[in-house]
Amino acid sequence: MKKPSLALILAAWLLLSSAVQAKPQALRLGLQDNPSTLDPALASNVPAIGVSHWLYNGLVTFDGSARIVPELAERYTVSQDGKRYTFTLRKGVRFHDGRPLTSQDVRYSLARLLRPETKSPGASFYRAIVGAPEALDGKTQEVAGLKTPDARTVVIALSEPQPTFLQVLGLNYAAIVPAGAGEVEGFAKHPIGTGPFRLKEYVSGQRLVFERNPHYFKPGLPKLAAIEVQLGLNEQVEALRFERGDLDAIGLLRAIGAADYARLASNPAWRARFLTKPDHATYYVGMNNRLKPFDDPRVRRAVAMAIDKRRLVRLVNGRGVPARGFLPPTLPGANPQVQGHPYDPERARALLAEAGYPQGFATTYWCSNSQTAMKMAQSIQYDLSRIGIKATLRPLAFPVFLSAVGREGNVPIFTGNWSQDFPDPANFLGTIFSSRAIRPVNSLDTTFFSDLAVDRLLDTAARTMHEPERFGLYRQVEDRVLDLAPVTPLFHPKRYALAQPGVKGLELHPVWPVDAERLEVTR
Amino acid sequence: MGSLLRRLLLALGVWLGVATLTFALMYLVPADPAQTMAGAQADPATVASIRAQLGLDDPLWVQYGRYLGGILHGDFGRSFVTGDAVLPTILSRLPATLLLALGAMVVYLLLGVSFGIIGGLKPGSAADRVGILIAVGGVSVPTFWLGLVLLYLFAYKTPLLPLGGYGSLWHLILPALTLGIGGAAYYARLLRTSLAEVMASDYIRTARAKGLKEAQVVARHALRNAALPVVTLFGLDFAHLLAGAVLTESIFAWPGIGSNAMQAIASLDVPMIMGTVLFAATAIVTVNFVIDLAYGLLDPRLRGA
Repeated sequence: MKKPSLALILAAWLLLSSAVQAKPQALRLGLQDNPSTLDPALASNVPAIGVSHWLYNGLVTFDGSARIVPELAERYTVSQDGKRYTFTLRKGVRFHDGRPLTSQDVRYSLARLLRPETKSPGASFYRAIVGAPEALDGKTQEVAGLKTPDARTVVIALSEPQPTFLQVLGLNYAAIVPAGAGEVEGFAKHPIGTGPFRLKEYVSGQRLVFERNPHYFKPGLPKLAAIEVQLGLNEQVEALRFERGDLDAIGLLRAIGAADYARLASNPAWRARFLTKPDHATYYVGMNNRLKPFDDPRVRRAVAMAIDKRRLVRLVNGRGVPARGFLPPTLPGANPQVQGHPYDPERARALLAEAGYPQGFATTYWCSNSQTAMKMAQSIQYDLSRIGIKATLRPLAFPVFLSAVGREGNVPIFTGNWSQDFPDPANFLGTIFSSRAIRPVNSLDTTFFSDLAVDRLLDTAARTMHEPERFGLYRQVEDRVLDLAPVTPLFHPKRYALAQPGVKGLELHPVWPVDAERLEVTR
Repeated sequence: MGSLLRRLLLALGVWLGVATLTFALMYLVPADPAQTMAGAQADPATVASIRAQLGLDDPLWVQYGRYLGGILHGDFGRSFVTGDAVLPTILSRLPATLLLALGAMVVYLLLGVSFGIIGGLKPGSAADRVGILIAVGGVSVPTFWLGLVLLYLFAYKTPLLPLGGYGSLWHLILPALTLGIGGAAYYARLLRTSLAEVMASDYIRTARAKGLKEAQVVARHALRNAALPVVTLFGLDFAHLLAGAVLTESIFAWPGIGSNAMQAIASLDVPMIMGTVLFAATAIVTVNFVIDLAYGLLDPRLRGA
């Protein structure tokens, strides 16, 4: 018998080793608390939304450029008047338990989301569906605007055109669950979806393990064998575990802590590996337009000119971009030419004098009591003092702070932060500057800003289906808001994530915390 | 028997007081539970509908009655954030907390009693001074700092022990030390003072005069008396530890009642906070009652008190 040649042995070894390398691995991430829920209709914070995206799919989703693309729907059509959406479902989609997806599941999922007993924080996004207001008020279980002519077709009728309807359908709230699943006790801990991963193990406070969904409808995906989320890890321990190689990535399900970011960024081995992307979010100073002296636009403009935004960005380790407008520059529809008010303390002092406050005035500045919010508030306090405004800081626990700023006549000036629900100017400007968002308590318009011209522009934009025209209307809204200055936009934060060299295909997504379908890990 | 009944009634009274204060928490917290659940963007009708479902529109006394009735049936309500039943969630976290509490108690005993005896027997000696120094340091060091330093040194720099987490006795060492060092220092000081006092008393002199060896004097006469206040505190501390060591559990990813409470506080999950407070109060009242009984058994003079 002939001996095998060296080349043959080498080829066999290479083949074998590549086969071993190709074996799918698990992605290991860390998190402090249990995700608040595994029910997509309830997920409203980053970890819960992140996990929900692994377990479920919607009819449509967002691609890497935040554009809407079909997902469980193979295709869809929108009627001329923008009030009728017809979706054709993909063939061969199965839930984690093997059941096939039908239009009944879609109808059930959307109707369930609207029921008050579901308590979905996203329910009001879908108010335009015919019959939704009655369902939201608990008057009916059936939603007239949801029709299923056959097992693969879903027709959604709206009472008025909603240009952002496909975007809200892409959110996790509208993810599809099997018909009747929500009524099963404990669904939020034993979820069933069509997503790339299914729940394997959930040990509260310790770990959450998802395994590859063998029925997944996208051929060859997901590439990972599993995702393991180690629970209970505070920021410091998460960073130490990452550095030791016990975790594959950080900065995905939550931001990297300030001290850990500074330490990792000073290490040349890690510095070059940081992935970064601007968040669709805006930090701002809000001023109550109904409380003196902030009811005077000159005072508000003075505040806008007094604040050194570059210093604020330095305070967050440079993880942000100073804001010129309210819309984040990478948000679709944002105006690249927007200018806002310049940093000009002298002009600010002159404006205060013009408004009748040559010596300035005293006020209380409210903020959340997190370390970052406190640092920012102190910097703003210093800037305000330079134009004569003596601000006393009032830090509060975040939920208490949120409740306080939403109460009418309560908070004169504060640090606010708005993060997208979906990537559209409507979700920024239409939500918090409309006088319809004003309520005596839990007001969404926390500056109690009310302007007829802005309201009219917002109403027109909300009905305009032609996108360039719609974006043009929002630019007018933003210009007027910046001129009247109910808020001073401070900066748009940037996301930073770090992965081990063996993690391939990681990109920061503009909507989802971790898009894990195409991720690979080799160890 | 009369005394036992009086103590039992007193314990129940304290417990009811805490339960009532806990109920008041729901109304003292400056945030609307229905709005918290419905989300910032919910319209007023949805919030009103959720409020009705939660029974928040009912008169206060109806809500109070329902709350107390629920507790007596073991129903502490449901989390506003996760929707999970509160009591089973707390009980599922109890084994981890119990283990950590026992671990900390072992540290109290090993370190606290050793230093306490050394200092109490030879007050003013070099060993005593070193002990005092360590005790003052142990009491003064903040738990979160100590925990992170221990993790950094013994789990990260020198990976002898796990970097946080739960699962084996190795995982227990650092959190038990973190939680136990402060307590051990306190116990050392307490036992040192108590023992020094006892060693100076007449019956110790008598015992020595009888010709007993010093070890016998200490073990049979001095320690038994000096340990009484320590034993009382030991029981109370154990009850406190059952409420969960919030900081230690959070630093070490220890899945106990404390880290659960931390999550509830951060998200203003009022039912979970209420449940944890009530659970802790029940543990403390029960242990107090048991200590009262045990004390009576140990010291006959206290039986009628």
